[in-house]
Amino acid sequence: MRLRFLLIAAAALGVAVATVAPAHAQQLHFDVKRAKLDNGLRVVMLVDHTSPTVAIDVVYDVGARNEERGRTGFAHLFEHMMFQGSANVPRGEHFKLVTSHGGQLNGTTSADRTNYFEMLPSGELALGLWLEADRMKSLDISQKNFENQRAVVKEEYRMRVENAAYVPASLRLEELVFQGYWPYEHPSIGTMRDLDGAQLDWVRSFHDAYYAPNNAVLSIAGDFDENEAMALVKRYFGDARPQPNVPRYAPPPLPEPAPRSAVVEDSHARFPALLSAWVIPPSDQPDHYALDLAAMLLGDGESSRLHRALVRERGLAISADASTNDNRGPDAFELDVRLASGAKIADAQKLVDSQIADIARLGPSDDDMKKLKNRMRARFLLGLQSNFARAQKLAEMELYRGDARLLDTELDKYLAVTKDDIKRVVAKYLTPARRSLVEVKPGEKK
Amino acid sequence: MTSLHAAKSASKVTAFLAAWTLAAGCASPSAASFGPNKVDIPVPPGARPASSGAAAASGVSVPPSGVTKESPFPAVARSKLANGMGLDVVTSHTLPIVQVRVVVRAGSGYGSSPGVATLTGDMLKDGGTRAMTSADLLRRIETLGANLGVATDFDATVLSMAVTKDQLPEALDILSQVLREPRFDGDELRKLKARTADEVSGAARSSGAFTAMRMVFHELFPERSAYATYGLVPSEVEKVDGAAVRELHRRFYVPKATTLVLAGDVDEGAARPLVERRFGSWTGGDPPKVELAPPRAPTKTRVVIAHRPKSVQSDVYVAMIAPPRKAPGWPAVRVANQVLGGGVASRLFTDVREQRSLAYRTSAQVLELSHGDQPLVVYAGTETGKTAQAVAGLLENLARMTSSPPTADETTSARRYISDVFAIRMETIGSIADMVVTQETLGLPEGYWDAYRKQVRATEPAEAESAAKTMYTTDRAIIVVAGDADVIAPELATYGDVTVVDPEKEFKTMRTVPRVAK
Repeated sequence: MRLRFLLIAAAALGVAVATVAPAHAQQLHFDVKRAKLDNGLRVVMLVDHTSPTVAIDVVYDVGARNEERGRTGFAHLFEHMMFQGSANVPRGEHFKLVTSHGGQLNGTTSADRTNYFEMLPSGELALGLWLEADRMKSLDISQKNFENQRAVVKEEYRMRVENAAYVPASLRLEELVFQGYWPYEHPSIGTMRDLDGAQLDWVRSFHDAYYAPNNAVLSIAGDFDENEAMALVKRYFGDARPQPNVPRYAPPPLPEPAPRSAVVEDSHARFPALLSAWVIPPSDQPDHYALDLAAMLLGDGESSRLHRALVRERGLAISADASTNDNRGPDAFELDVRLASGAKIADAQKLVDSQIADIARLGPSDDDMKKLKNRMRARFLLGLQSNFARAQKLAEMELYRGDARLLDTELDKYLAVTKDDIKRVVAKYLTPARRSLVEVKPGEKK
Repeated sequence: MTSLHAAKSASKVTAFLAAWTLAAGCASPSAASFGPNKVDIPVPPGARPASSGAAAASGVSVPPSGVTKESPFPAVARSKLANGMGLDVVTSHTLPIVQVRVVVRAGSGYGSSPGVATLTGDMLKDGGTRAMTSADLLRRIETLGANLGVATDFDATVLSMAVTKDQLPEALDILSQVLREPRFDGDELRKLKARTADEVSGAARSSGAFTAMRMVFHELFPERSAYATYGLVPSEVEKVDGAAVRELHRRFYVPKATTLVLAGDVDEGAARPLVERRFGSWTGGDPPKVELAPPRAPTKTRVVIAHRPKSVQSDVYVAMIAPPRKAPGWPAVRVANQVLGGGVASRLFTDVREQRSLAYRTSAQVLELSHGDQPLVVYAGTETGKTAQAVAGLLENLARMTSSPPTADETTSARRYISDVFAIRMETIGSIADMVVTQETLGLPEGYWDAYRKQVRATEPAEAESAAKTMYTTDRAIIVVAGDADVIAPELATYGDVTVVDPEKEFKTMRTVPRVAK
């Protein structure tokens, strides 16, 4: 299996060096095995014996987008509770068992999903599966543990939001660009007020509602035998009870984009910043691939358009980045320009606008396309080197798009983007009439 | 245990500081480590037997371990060109990628003043070459699909790129010009200095980790030491001129102080002629000796506050001295530190976070240096109003490391983690390249990682206890806190004399508060 993937990957990279490759020249293949247990658990597996390690990743189809108003940040607070013990694993033991067996673990919560993962020596696959199955099937909760984790999450909030320069502005930008679209309008870390209002009994209800095998994907990547792994999966997860009534995710209609703006005073920021965002189609839509390349053209690397113009040539900024959020639903295209001392927001804005207008009018050059496609190939392949990276990407493809094997065609979709596609999507989506803007104004420290 | 929405934004904020901040995380796919690409890892040959451990310490029944193959560190073909430049090649054909690193022993304090070495490293990329302007150079590199990284830490400047196998000759062409024929364009230096001054003054306001670490090194090392200055302040940047940059380059960027590391789909036989062609005619003398004076052990506990007005959280560090990186007892140091604060099963995480709810992040880390004793810091980030409680929590756990030394179970768990997690980190060829860089930078011997792993596995609780007694000197520590001094200084004065500095005025002393009785 491994050999097959590698040989084809090598061919793809070979093309990448020589020229701008035609779309059909890329033939990536990941030999993914998929299965589904009777209780609905979807399983994806990718064997690679290169390193004697294995990554286990359980991705639940619940995230901040499922939160109700007044309960922001609860999906993330709940994620913390998943490390507080389960029927057969006392509090703290999950941490100890994984590390004492030479592994690492963590969990993360985004708007679109929540994941829990272990990276272990390959001989510890059973341990990782057993631990994940135990907390899928049961959760040991107490008021004391809940209060403890509420306090820990509030420290996380202070660290990541309240005490972090430019982050409150970034969250404000999300509120503006998704104004009226609750799933992405609110931050996955929530608000202090909602964290304070969270109740212990919500934990049990949340687990019952969402933490069921039929609402999850189990992804395993690395050095293991597929048949043995599947036997373990059945042994540990087979008796997990499905939830027949997983709450249906029913997003509201996406409001028509409109120009919006705000000023955020930030006492931790030394210099002003200019943040912009536009709503764009979801990640699986054809235009999104072109917009990803447009983001690279504008802000990826020091020879990118914005960096060159704003940072290197004019000295108006110390950094200029462009990115998409890669949301499962409607996405956002975002620019983040940190101004240099003495630079004026209006000058930076004018230059940003002119760079966007240039692309909308002329599109990228042939040299730009060569660079963009080489960089996309490198990013794609280097980003899938570790077992965990592969497990996570495959799980997301299975959860978001229904089939992990679609990863095979993902790079091709980027390489099929043309100059005209980039020109068209920039002209269509990155317009002033659809833009949300946040200006960061450094606040007084005293 | 991360909320990604905020984390994404935070990563942009801290991008510049990647090489200069102290990672204080607990359980992350990326290793917490100090300095560019410093990693800890090892491994010996043979299959490791399955552990019988069907039960955890608490008596929980867990599935038995299976057999895990050993993952010895890959062979490194080491050689030298006739001019003294080192060439290390690690061959791995798993992906058609080659990771390229150039290690130049020109640490951040090696120049005529702080900042010269860092700006010299940055100017290699930003200042262009004899044949290419800076813009041409960047475009050429990035059109390959690569990025040229330049990171200067205390002991070296490291250039890094990842390229596909067939781009290696072009990448080496570029690197040869970058290293041997830098243009050091005056206008580009002016721009770089302006950007750098903005970046460091921005960090002085926004980064508690940066301001605290600046003070840790300032307090521990004598001014003459090349290790005394962590990061930069605007006046240090301003002082650097083209002459100083060219002089540092002339003296330190010489073949004898340089090692090229190639890891990936390339073997020594193919690499050697490629490298000879581009670097073989490079000339230069012996690099100068540098004053690397060791740290001064604190004689009593004192407190330094890097004032962050309106900070809702304090970054609390307790700094002490750890033995040299190359000391024979280093594996025991690592085991003891792992027990104390090395991750989610550590004492700090279990007590300060999970019991007392005082922090989201805790850690214990040695800030590794190539020469002499090294700083050891334990960390907790805590709500401003609980700063004194967090200091107490850290000090109590430090003290417990000697009053209740590491148990057999703790030692077993720590050494298994330290030794086995290397297989996970070695999943990517980039990590392997970085481990070779660490070896070169710290001057670790051939076969180090495998030998180290063996030593870690053989570490006994008594050795960890002995290391703990040497390191965790709670009565002689420097407590450095980045936080709102107006709120926290009075309480912290119970731990020692307090000095409050203003990071936004280049760490000038604002006031002192004498110690008060508890």
